[in-house]
Amino acid sequence: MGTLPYLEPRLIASDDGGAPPGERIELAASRCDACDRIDFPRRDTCPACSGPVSGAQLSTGTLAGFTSVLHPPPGARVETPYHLGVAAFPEGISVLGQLLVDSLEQVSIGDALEVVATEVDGTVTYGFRPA
Amino acid sequence: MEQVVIAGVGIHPFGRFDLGYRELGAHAAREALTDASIGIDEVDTILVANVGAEMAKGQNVVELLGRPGVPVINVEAACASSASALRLGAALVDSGRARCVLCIGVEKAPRGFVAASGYEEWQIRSGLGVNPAYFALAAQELLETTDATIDDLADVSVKNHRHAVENPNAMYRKECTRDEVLASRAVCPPLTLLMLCAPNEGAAAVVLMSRQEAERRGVADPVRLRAVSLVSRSPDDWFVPAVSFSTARSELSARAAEDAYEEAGIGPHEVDLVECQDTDSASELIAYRELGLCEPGEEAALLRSGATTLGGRIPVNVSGGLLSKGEPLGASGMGQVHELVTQLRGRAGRRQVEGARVGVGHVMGAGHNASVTVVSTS
Repeated sequence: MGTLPYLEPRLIASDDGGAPPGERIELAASRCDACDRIDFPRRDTCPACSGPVSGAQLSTGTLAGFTSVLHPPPGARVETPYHLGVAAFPEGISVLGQLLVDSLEQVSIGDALEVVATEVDGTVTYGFRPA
Repeated sequence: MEQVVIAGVGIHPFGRFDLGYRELGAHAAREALTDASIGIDEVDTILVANVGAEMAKGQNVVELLGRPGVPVINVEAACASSASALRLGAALVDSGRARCVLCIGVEKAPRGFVAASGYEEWQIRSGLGVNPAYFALAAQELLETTDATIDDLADVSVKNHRHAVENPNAMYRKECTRDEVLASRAVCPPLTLLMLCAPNEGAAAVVLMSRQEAERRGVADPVRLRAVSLVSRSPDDWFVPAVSFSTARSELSARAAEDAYEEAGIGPHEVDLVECQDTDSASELIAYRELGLCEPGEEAALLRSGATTLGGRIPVNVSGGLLSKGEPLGASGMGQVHELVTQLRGRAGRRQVEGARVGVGHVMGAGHNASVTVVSTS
């Protein structure tokens, strides 16, 4: 499959306009120049100290929690059932995203994860895949 | 708040009804006014908590009560809407700006998943805007980090449903077993349908007065409103609809509890009963810790000891909680206050907590809002 446009470009660190599903990508975070705090999605100023921020990228983390969505939620363009995971990044932030596995039997808390592109209705957004 | 008392309470049962939100709200308000022995024309200010109705909803409810011509202010803060209205009302009375405030919480929520919880469009489209998934992740964390088990999660539902049998204002008044809870439809593992509350319809109302005004009127059984804390998101809190959180996470309900106990001058060991935000079974166990009823890690032990069951040391959700009453978002907090006041007045019938003198209510809502209310007999 070819490259698809990003569902929400500001979430993704690369400025290449899109990616093929399954390709590794990085999340666009921000780091406070004053207190070092990381935020995702990227912010204009630090929510903790109001200091200026610089860009930062998140690419690999560990699985901190997971569940499944078994019944279609309103507005979702993802077929149920699907899985969700929390990726804890070493930078100090944890992010909720789709967990791209066939079954939760395949994963455990603490597993290494990488950020990859995943298709949503003709676009791609970020998801997490066991590394 | 030395001077604020609850002079009357009213409720429209929680459930599903062939009535509009206006009628539901007006029903609860009339009951509260009658309970306080005052007329709508004697009220200084009316605060109406609601999440989803329409423009000028409070004014539309009040139209059914009369035309008092006083300020009607609509208040919305997701599941903390009622608590926000109560806090504003208490501040008006405490400051002397109002002598008598009517607070109404009312909701007629659509069935199913709660939509419009503040998620951005990309979250919704990519399947991340799912409230029960957030509750499920918190539940999983509780199971991973404490000795709580899936059976404990089921037993919270069993307890609250048993309590609700004696509450005519609850939606579900049937006992259920642990096996039934575990075998009910999986929603977001580990949570099953019977471990989650259902959004529904209902209303509750509270009349606030200064103590002097209540004395002047000879109000029977006034209950003191000792504190209504209210907190919003700090840098490290995490709840619906945020997609991320600092790994060093803080707890917003714990902060709300701390503020409320401090203002009330009352500690958690002096509390006789609690109505807490049991959006799901795990939320109740987590609230035990956040409200200071137990130490971190002892949540399940407190449940298993029977302390939080009617007849125990610190009964929690003797009304049946949201798990049994259902959750009319804008009305749930006012419903808790209705229950606490009924209990403190000794009028709760077969679900009465013997000798109840201090009650605590707790709500937490989307957008990061939490509130803890403390009421006492004197």
